[in-house]
Amino acid sequence: MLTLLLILLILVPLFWLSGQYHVFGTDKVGQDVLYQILKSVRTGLIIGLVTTLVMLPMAVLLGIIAGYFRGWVDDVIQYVYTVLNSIPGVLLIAASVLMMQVVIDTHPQWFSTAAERADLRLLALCFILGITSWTGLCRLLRGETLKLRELEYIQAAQAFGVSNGRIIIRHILPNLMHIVIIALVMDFSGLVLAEAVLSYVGIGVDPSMTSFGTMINNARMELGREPVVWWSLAAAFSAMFILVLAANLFADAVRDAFDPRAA
Amino acid sequence: MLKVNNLRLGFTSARKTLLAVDGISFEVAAGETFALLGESGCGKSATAQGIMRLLPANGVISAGSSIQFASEELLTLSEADMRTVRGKRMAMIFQEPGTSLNPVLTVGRQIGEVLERHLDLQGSVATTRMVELLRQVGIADPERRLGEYPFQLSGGMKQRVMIAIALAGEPDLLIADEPTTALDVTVQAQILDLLAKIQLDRGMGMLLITHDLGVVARMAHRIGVMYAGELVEVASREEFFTRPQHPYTQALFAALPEVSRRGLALTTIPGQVPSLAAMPGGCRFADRCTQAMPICRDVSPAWRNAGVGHVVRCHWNGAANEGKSIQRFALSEQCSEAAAFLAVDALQVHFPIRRGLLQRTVGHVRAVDGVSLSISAGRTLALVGESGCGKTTVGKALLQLIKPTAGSVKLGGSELVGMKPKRLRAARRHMQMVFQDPFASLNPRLRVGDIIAEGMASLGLENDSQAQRSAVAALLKQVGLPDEATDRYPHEFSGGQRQRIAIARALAVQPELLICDEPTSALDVSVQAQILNLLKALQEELGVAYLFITHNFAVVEYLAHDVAVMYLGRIVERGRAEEVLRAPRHPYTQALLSAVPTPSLDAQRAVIKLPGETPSPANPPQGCHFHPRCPQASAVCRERYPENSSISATHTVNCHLFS
Repeated sequence: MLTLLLILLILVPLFWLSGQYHVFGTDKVGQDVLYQILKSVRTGLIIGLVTTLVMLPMAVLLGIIAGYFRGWVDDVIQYVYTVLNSIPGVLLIAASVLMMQVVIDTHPQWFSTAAERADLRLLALCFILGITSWTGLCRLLRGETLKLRELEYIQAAQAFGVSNGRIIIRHILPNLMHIVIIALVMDFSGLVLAEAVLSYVGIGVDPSMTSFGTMINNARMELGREPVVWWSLAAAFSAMFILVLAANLFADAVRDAFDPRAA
Repeated sequence: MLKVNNLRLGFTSARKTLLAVDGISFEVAAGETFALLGESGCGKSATAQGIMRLLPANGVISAGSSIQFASEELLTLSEADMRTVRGKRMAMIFQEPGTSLNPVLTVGRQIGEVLERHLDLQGSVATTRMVELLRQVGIADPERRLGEYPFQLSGGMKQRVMIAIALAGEPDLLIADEPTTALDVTVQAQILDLLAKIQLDRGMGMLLITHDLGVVARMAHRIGVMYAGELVEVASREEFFTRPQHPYTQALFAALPEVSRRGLALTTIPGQVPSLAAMPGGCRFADRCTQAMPICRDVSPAWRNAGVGHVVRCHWNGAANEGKSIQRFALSEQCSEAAAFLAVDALQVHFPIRRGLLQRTVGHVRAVDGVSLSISAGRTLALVGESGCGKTTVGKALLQLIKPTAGSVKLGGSELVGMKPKRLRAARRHMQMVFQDPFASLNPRLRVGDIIAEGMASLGLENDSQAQRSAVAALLKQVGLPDEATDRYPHEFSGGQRQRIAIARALAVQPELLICDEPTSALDVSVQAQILNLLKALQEELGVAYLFITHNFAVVEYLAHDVAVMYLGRIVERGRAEEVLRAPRHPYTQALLSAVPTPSLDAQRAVIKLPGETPSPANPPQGCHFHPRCPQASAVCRERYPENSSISATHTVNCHLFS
């Protein structure tokens, strides 16, 4: 209740004022920073969510299969993620993004507007990030499944002749959910930050698209001025902080809600 | 020497302090063993931690408590001063030897730590002392062991090292918190002997914390019974075993399974220990007491003298009420020995040991190496053995949870080994398993109703959801749980209730054979009695046969019709329960039986001491597996494994002494 009141106390005047004033100031070409931040949050959310959606089924499925069936299936899956892991992540992403860039540049006829091109680039970035970042969660889930499959309730189910698919869905998956949720949020935070880093080095989203990375990149130049233009960077920083924190708190709440012991 | 006076300690959670120990007082004199006895959750371990001032961060000792050690008040000492007391004048042995030693430090380093801290011994002087200590606790070749890591030692050896560490500071008081609970009976006998001998040599005081009446009978001079954070009875050993006064103590004795109680229902203590948050006013045992009077619920009883050195906290002082109707089970001893329902022949389970880059098989762990047994309908076969002898593997191999390497498992005439998965599924209806740990055997995220219905759904017995619900309700009733349990989650139940749920789940498919893998070893005595009664009643009602896998001989005596003793993957002796338990022939069975501590006063039987511990099944000894530990081994034992020889029509033994 108190939290809600506090949030309202900050948000209401903010939006009240934003009609007439540039509450967080403007950048060098006179764009409103508050507006930029809101657009960056949108970009961040898209990257976080879409990438997670790409990564999640792969990580969960492969992790459980590897841990539950062991044997050669486990060997193959482990081999794949070890190879993927041993290539430096930024290098792999940079290579994929540059390849995609070439494809986009050689087919200008695909896009009618620049915004369309930027959207496709964003989507492609999500896929690239997703395909390179499932290994961590997969490894975690494999380990936990290895532990779970030896537990007695799994063996009791096997003694009833319950099929493997059903055991995985009824017994293993629900008991892995807490790990999935925690790992997802960690990954979500990591992805928002990764986007910022990638855009900063120029291999992230389209330069015309507003995101935390491009905002920071632009603000970097402004820091050298006299007097210092700090508000752009500070606003981007605090917005990112709030977004990541909110995601963490949300995940904790979700985990507690699904835990029968806490109810 | 140690004087605990009105010790009250609790644990803070969510700004409330829950008292785990509420005003207990006792003394331990030099050279005396004082045993704290009680079920889990009674505050025994918290008391020990309080005395050592080793409580977790949220533990608080209330004002007014006093712990005097050699007439020095411990509770007012600073932490720095306390550190010179711990390990030097007072030492502690923990329950689990596997986790109480640091796995990345050598044994020598861990003993040396104490010597360096408390006695300022270093270098060669310290090494000499360490060797001496290890020899004192009966470790062979101490010089070599000093340089070894804990994983290179067996469980019993680790506990010996733990004792050596405790003794290193030459303490006046030893606190032993369930020192043998995690060990096998033959090793337990070794460790208890060792503790008794060291105490005699050094004149130490000892505070022994245990739940095992047998261990108490063997070790204690005086006994304090704890219940729900209070001491309820303190008595000398003789008084305690001849005239227990408190109804709780009496119930503990009555709940023990024994051969004399065969065919009788065991006395159980209804309900369970009240939770810390909901302690009843008045006597804390009143709700579960058979003698409860109105006054018990209002007034907490005061101490009352009940004999020489015998005090008890109870309002009731009548004689034990006999004539209580004890439920009798019809003796099923004479039940017809029909054709074997389950016949196992030369069952083998070998696990390959793989090494190296290419994972080549370099050897086999022969977990089960040629086991033959048979069970007929409605009977109980107990499979007894120490940990690591392969008894659980037998159970799982019977259910085809682990694929047997060789041999045959015939269930009602059809061969299970190598059966097609589809047909095997149908066969699973006839055979189910109850697992050891009720906390691991129920999926925490399914409701009880779903857990029980799982087997029915999977084997296609009751597909209609209405019929399923009523079947679940009937099962819950059968195992003595309330109807509303269906919609609750397993964590809301206590250990005993969870085991009932597990039994209901197994019974749901109406199996003819239930494999019970140590179903009571994780439970307290009073709860164990409830489960044993339930199993016995179910056998009578449904005619289900049990394969009872256990290491607890008291349970075997109480429940089993037939007994098979396993050692290192093979059955060494087999026969009717009374034959094997009354007249054991195999030296291993004899030693095993003699090592079981009996909870009574009569002169403890001479224990046949077995040297060493069970060898690894990856590398069993040549000839008879038991010969390196056997007191009667001869030349022939070293050469070949003994044949099966019959003592009587039903009693067979694998030993050269009888061939």
